[in-house]
Amino acid sequence: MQKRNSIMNSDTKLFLQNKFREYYKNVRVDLPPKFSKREWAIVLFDDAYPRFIMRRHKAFSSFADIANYLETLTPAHVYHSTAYYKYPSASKMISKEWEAADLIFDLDADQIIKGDVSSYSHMLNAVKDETKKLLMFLTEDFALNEDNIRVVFSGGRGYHVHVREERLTKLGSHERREVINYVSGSGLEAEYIIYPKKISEYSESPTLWETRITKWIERYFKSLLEMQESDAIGQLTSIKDVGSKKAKEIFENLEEIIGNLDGSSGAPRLIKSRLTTESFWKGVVRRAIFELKVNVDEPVTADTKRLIRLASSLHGGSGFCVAPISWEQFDDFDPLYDAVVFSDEMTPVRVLSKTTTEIKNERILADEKTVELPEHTAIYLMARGFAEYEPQRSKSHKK
Amino acid sequence: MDEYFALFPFTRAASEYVKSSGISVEDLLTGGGFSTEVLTRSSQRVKQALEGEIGRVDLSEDIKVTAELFSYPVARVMVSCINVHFLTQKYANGEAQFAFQKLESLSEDKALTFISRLLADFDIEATLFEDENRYKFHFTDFVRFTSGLRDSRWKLVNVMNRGYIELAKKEVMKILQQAIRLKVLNAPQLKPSNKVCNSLSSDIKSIVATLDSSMSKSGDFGAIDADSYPPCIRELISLVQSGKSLSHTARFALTAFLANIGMSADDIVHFYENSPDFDFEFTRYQVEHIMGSSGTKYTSPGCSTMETYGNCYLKDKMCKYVSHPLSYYRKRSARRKASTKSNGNYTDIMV
Repeated sequence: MQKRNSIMNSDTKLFLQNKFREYYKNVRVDLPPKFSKREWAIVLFDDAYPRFIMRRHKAFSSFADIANYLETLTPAHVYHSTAYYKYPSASKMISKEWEAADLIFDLDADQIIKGDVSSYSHMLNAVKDETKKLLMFLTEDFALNEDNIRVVFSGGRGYHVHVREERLTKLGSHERREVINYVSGSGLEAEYIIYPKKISEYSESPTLWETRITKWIERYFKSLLEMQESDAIGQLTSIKDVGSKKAKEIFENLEEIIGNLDGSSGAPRLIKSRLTTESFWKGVVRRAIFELKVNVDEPVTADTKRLIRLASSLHGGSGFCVAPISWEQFDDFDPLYDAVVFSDEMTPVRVLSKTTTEIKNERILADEKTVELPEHTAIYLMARGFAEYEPQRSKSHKK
Repeated sequence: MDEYFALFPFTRAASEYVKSSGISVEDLLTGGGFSTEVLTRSSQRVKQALEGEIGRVDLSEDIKVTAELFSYPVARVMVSCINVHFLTQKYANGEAQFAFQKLESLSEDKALTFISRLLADFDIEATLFEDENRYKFHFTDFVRFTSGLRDSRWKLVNVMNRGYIELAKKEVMKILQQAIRLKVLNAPQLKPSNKVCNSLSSDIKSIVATLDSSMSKSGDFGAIDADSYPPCIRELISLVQSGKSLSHTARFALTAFLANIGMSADDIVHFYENSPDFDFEFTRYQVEHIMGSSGTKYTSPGCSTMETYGNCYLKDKMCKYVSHPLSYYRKRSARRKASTKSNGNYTDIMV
C-alpha cells in the first residue's frame, strides 16, 4: 500500500481550489433535469479538508445561482440528490416530501474486481466492460430508451448510470431491488430454463436471459472441444457436483452433447440424459449466470434518496472531471484521457511517496522528492494525498 | 346503482360514488333501517376477515347493493378505531381475498369488464391480447404489486421480456388481489373522531372479542411467555418500541429469537411498527426470510455473538448459567411454570 497523506497543507488546498475555480469559471456545468427539485450538497476545501464535512440541504432555482455558487465557493466535491422533492432544502428528510427519483447504478471497481489488478487503467477498463453489460440489459431487456440513460465517469474508480425515464422514477425501493435482481440474475430459476414449458403460461417466446444462458452454454461446450483434455476437465470440475470421473465422461461425449443442444434453429435446448442430468444442467446454468450477470452496488440502486456526483463537476479526490459520456463516445472513452481537464504546464510538487501514474498516455514514475510534473498529474497526486504543492521551488527553478 | 361499486367498494370509482351520494359515516350511525343493515354487514366483514373469509351476501335488491357498498367504508372506520396492526392486516387480506373470489365467480364477459375497470382504477396500463386470456404489463406496473411476493414466477428475472410481462387472466387477478390488499391496508389513514368511534362502540366491542380469540388461537402466540425473555431481548424490544432504529445485527437477533420461540411472522412484524423506518412489506419479507422462507431457518445468535456486536444488555444472574438467549428463555420459562401458573396473555407482548 502506498502511503497517503490524511492531512493537506494550506498551500496545496489553495492551489487546488484556485485550479478548481478556474475550471468552474470557464465551464458550463451540466445540470440534471428538474434541478430545482433536488437537494444539493458540497464538500469544501475548508480547514478540515480532506476530512469530509458535507454541507447539505441546499436548493437552487436557477442555473445562474448554481454556477455562481460553484465558482464562489469552489467546492472539492459536488453532489445532488437522485430524488426530486417538494421541499428540497428542508433539513429533515421527512419534510422534504419525496416525489420521485432517478434510477441509478453505481459501477465501482470494489464491486467488480476481485483480487489484484495490475493498474488503474486496467481496473477502469474492467469496470467499463461491466458498464457496457448493464447498458445492454437496460436497452434490450428493459427496452429503455437510450435518450433517457445517462452514463457518467465517476471521477474515481468507475461509472454512474442515471436512468430518467418518467415511469421508472416513481419506483420504490423494493421495486428497484427487483431491477437489480434482474441484472444480477438473482432468483433466476434454473428449472425454467431446463423445462421451458413451465412458464409457457406466461410467455411463448424465451426470455432474453434464457436465450443468453442457453447460447452461453452452447459456446461453452464448443470451447471445451478446442481444449486439451486436462484443461477441459479442469473447467468442468469447477461446475457444482462434477467430479473428475464425470468430467472425463462428459469430455468424451462432448460432440453428442453439443449435437443435442442444437441451437441452429433458435435457442439451444438443455436435453436431459444419463450424463447431463438435471442437477448437472442446474450447475451449468448457475455458471452461465455468474458469467453473464452485472455486478452493481445494490444499496445505491435501491436507495431512492441517494446523493450522487454532479456530472461535469470535479472529483476532489482525483482532480478528474465527473465526465458525462455520450453513447457514441462510450466505446472510445478513456477516463485517463477524456476526463482530464487540467493542462500539462509543469507544476512543482513534493512527492510524499513513490508513485506511478499514467495520465494522457504519459507514464510518470515519481520519487519521494520535489519535482515538476504536468499540471494534471500534479493535481491528481495532490488530490489523492500523494504530493504537496511546493511553490518556493518553482521560483528557483524558473530562474 | 352499478354493481361494480358494491363488489369493489375500495376502488376510487366507488369512493367517489359514496362521496357524491352525500351520505357520510356519521349519517349512517344515526340513521334508520338502512343504517342497521350497513352496520351489521360492516362488523360482519371485519369479523369474518378475522375468522377466515368474508362471505357473500344476497345482492338481489337495490337496497342490499347499496348497503353492501356503504358497509366497506364503515368497516374500514371500525378497523381504524381499533387501530391494531394485526387486525388491519387481517382485514386487508380478507377484503383482497374476497374480491378475488368475486372476480372468479363472475361470468367471463363481466369478469373481463370488471378486470379492466379495476386495472384502470389502480392506474395499471395493461394490454389485453386478442384471445382475451392474456394480458401484457409493463414491468413498472408489474413490480409495483409483486415486489412483496416471494414465488419465483413473480420475479422479473424469470418472466420479463423486453420490458413487458405476459400474464394469464388468473395471474392478473392475483396482482389485483395484491393491489387491493395494499389499498385497504394503507387506506389514507382515516382518523375517525372519538365521537364516531364511540357511537360504534358496541360493534367495536364485538370485533375486539373476535380479535382476542383469533389472536390467542393464532399459532403459538398464546404459549409465548413474555416474562421469560432474557434481558437482551427485553432491551431490544423496548428500543424498538420506543421508536429507535435497530442495527442490522440487533434486528436479526430479535427476529430470530422471536421466531425460534414460536411467534408467527405477523406477530413479529408488530414489534417493528414503531421503527422510524418501518416498512410493512419489507419487514415482513425480512422476517419471513429469517424464519426460513428461503430454505434456511436461522437460529438466534448465542451470547458471545450478542456480545461481539454490542447487543448484550443488562446481564443478570441467570446469564451466568447460559450461553444462549434461547436457553435463558427455556430455563426461565420452565421455572416460572413450576412456581406459578404462566399467564400466556398476549397483552404482555402487545404493550
